Amino acid sequence: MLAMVRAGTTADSFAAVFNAHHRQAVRLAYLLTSDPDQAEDIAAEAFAKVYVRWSKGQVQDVGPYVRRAVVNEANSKLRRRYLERREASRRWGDERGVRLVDDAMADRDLVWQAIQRLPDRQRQAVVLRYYEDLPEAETASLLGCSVGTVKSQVSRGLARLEQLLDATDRTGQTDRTGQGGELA
Amino acid sequence: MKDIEQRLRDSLTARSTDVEPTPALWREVDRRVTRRRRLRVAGWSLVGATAIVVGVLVLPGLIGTGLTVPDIEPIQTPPATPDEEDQDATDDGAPDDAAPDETDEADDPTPTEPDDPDALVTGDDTLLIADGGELRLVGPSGDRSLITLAAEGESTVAGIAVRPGSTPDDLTAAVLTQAEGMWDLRELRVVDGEVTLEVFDERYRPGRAGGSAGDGLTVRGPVWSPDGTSLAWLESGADGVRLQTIGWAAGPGTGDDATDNAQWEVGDVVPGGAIPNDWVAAGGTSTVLRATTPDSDDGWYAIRLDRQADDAWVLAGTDVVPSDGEEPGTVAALAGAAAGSDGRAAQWLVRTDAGEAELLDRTTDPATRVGLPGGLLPPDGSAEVWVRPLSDGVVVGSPSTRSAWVVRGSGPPALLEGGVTYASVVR
Repeated sequence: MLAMVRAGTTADSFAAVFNAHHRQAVRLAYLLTSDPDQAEDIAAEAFAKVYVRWSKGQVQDVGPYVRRAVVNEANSKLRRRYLERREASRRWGDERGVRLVDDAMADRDLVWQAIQRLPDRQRQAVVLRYYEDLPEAETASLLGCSVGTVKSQVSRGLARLEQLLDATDRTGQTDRTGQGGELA
Repeated sequence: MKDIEQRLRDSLTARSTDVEPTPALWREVDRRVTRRRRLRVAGWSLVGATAIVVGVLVLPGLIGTGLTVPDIEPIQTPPATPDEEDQDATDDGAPDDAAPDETDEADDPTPTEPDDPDALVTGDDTLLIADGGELRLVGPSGDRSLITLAAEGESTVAGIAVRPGSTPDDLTAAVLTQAEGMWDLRELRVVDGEVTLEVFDERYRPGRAGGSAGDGLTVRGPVWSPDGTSLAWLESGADGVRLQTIGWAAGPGTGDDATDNAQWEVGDVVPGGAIPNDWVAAGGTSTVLRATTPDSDDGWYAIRLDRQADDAWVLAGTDVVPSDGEEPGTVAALAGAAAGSDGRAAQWLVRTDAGEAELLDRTTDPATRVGLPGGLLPPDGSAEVWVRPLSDGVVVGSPSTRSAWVVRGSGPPALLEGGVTYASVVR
């Protein structure tokens, strides 16, 4: 039985798995974290974890498995970043120090800038729904929450995006100082 | 589609092209896969000793395979760093005294100091304790750290079982670990101060029967047969609940068709996620593997396994042993089998009811009831609990609260120092 399960699972074919999914994995990681440097690290860790299960012949559909591993790893990074932000806020009295990097990148695109202002869970929900085009149920499974929570997170995320973009439209300029608050 | 939805979709698609994987990504995956197959020994110190033994553990056959990528440049596996070369020297599976990788922050070889001499674990008792990813021995002479699962980061111990007949100086234990929904079983050996921890061969790992692929698998256990010749655990997945056994000779598996390994579907009686508590003798060639759940009021679950003439196990039946009607609540854990009881009369029961836990000690007549501290259970009240017999009492704990209490007689429970998620008695 074991031989049947493992038939065809060789190192070379994991390379094929990697080739087929690595680009999408890195991009998803980037959209989930807004951090291009961390995206590759997240993808590397995700593939290393997928390999453990894959090598046992226990991954039947690699794409969703890689996606789940990326989301899990991104979650871990986001939790760490949240703690770092909280610590920075405690030290400096606000969050400016950790927002500057994100804001500098965000200036390139208003919507992208607004996306980055979404709370992590809302951003994860909208990225999975509107970039990965996942149904609500699969998004809920990946995020470890109910379908209702996904609906509310997406709804709030969209409303927040509209609010941020409306504010930008009213003022006709973006906040390039990275001082927090609204876009304008 | 709303305007904002289209703008969002367009923006995400455009921004996703901001990043492109670099050729270094595959090398990094290869490096991490290779490292993942190696477990390190860290933090081992004998009480009063100055030497620190650090071993590097190797999964034979998977090291140095050098994964290659056909389409991505560069396609070769990168040359090993000096650190990796040191590790590769252990590819024969033998323990190595190489120093831990400097990038493994959790690999702290700092010796641990002996605990308070007024230890709670006394006499002939020694406990193998897990706390997250760390394993340590706690006995009358103190506390010594054995190993930390540093190489795999998020790996945590999800169950431990010391093989019957073990001693602190010659110990074998099965260790169930979990990381990101992936389950592994490992063999812990402690021989004259040298520690090794090795992943089971693929033939004997959880999920080997197939069917429970990906993240649908839940593994609970393991437990040893009374004579220590077999190991068992429960696997739950989309396709049901399976009892898995493997024979044990010098390690996992015997190579003999009758005793090497076996699986049975038990989901008609045993619910998914049930936790094997122990595997006890029930007279003659009969044994009973006993399992509980943290939240079922039905009782506990008896899986009867009998030895055949060729030493193969045969499933003789599965039963629900109902809760005593006068004893409301959940049988969250049990331990000890009364002689001649066919395994159904547990000597210690932990009952939980509405967030409170109570130990029922049936070794006395009449039975003794000891209220367990509120800190044993989390605020919501439902949690995995285990109980292990000591020579003069029991130790009760829960991974949910990382706490364990020693209970002797009708005296008040005493909290074990340090975090404890699981414990198994060395004897």
